[in-house]
Amino acid sequence: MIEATDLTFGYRRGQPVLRGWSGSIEPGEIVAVVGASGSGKSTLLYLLGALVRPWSGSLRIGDVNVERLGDGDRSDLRATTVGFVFQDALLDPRRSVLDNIVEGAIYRGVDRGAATRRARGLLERLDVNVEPGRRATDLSGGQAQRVALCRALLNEPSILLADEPTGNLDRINAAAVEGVLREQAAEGGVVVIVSHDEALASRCDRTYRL
Amino acid sequence: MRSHVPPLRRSWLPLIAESARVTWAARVVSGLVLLLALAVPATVLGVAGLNIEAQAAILRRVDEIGARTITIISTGSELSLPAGAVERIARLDGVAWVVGLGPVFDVRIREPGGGPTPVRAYRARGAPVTFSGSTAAGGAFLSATSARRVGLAGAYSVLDPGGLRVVGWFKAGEPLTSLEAFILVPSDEDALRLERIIVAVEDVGWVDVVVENLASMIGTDATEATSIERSPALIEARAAVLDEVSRRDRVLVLALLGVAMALVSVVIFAGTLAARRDFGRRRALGATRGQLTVLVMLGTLWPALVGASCGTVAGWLYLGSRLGYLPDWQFPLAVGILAVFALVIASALPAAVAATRDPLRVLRVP
Repeated sequence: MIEATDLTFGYRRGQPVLRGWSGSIEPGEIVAVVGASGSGKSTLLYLLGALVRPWSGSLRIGDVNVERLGDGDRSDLRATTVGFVFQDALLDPRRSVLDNIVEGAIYRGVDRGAATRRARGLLERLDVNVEPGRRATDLSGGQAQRVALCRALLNEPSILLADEPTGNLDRINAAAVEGVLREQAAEGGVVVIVSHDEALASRCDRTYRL
Repeated sequence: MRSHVPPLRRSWLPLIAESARVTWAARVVSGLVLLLALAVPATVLGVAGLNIEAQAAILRRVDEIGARTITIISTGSELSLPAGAVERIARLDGVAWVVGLGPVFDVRIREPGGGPTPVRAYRARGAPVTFSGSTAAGGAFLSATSARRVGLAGAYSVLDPGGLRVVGWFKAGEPLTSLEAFILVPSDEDALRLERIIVAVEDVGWVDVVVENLASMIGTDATEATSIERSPALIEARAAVLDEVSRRDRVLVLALLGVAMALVSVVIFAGTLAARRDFGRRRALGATRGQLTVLVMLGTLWPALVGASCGTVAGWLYLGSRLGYLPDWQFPLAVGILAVFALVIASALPAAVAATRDPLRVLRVP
């Protein structure tokens, strides 16, 4: 599903953050990426999510050569194939829980009615006990992260990329989020988790160390 | 292996709806844009109202001074202007009034005292000169000025040479106040020959038309011994005033739009800078650069529409209150549309900057 060869990328010319990373992830796998701060874990995640093009190396998602895609094609790929979960949930605090979840459908052009129905279903499935009309700013950390998971799953992505998804959560909420990620992998999706948590990494199918 | 993704058929409707929700959520930025959009047409229309009043006042003054007057002068050795021309000219379309004046000669009061005072025959239709006293033909009328000069002793004084009897008073309004230096002798005699005829037209636009018809009113023989004087300098000055006022209006509108565009650009830029992680998130969720640009520009459009609508109506009503009537709606509407268009265009640059910002840089947690 994902096959990367010699991926190199950096933010400043001549100073690569990620140097020659290779790896492959199959459907149904849940993979952890661990490493010290600044080792390029998040950068790798965003590269795998086609947010940017690598400086060099090749990246294949399914049968698509990502490194050759233009910005529009990569946006289409993210809208249809990739779901992101960010470390701090990254919800829009000024807007409702429902608005935050259905945002993922807007750029794909999905009708709001259909997106709303699916969002309500995800809130139930992930056991998020909040009013859909409640403002995101009123949510606890665990609730916010689960709402972010709902948003990432809204478009039924085949690849779920999670950046420190349990980093700010207590044990119970962390277990709940991990459970959803496992469920996603069990349904045939690719799940990549960037984490400092060695225990979480040890429970994944494979671990890449940077 | 493919190097492209099957094109996604994106619908713009969800994006338009999203822009309305974002506009509502970002109330501070939207409120500032709304206020600026309100201020532009309101100020333009308010200042336009004041300018229209000032312009009208200047034109009234210029027109009073003489841009609307034509003077026909007998230039021959003998007086060539027939008195009947006054009535004929007065019947022309666009003529406000006509005054015919005979030659000037000096008279003195029979009683001792006083100085020589000019007197002239007078024939007019509709002129701003009012007479009071006897209606006896051939009587002389004095103004306050000419009465002082001639040293009038009593209402029934006699003036020499000619034995003219003073029978009443007259008062001349603008622009004929210079006649108050004279003693006037109104005359309806057809045989009277005039030294000059002053014609005032209702509007400066009639001057050329009336001048073209004067020759036939005066008579062909008389035309050769007359000169027709108008006030080209005043007419040019009038046009120059109009041009200058219009130019200032245009400069003002452009300056206001420029300032409003710059402010909106700064406000939107600051807004996108504060929400840069939001833009990174949207990119991660699959938004294209084009979608983000449109989202920001639509986010400017909605408050600009509301603000410009309110500002246009307010400015239009203010303009109506200054003018005393509601002017045509086309100009206020055009100003409102221009304001909205300018502000949305002003948001294009910060929108493009926000859309092309590197999502990785803004999404990484330090």
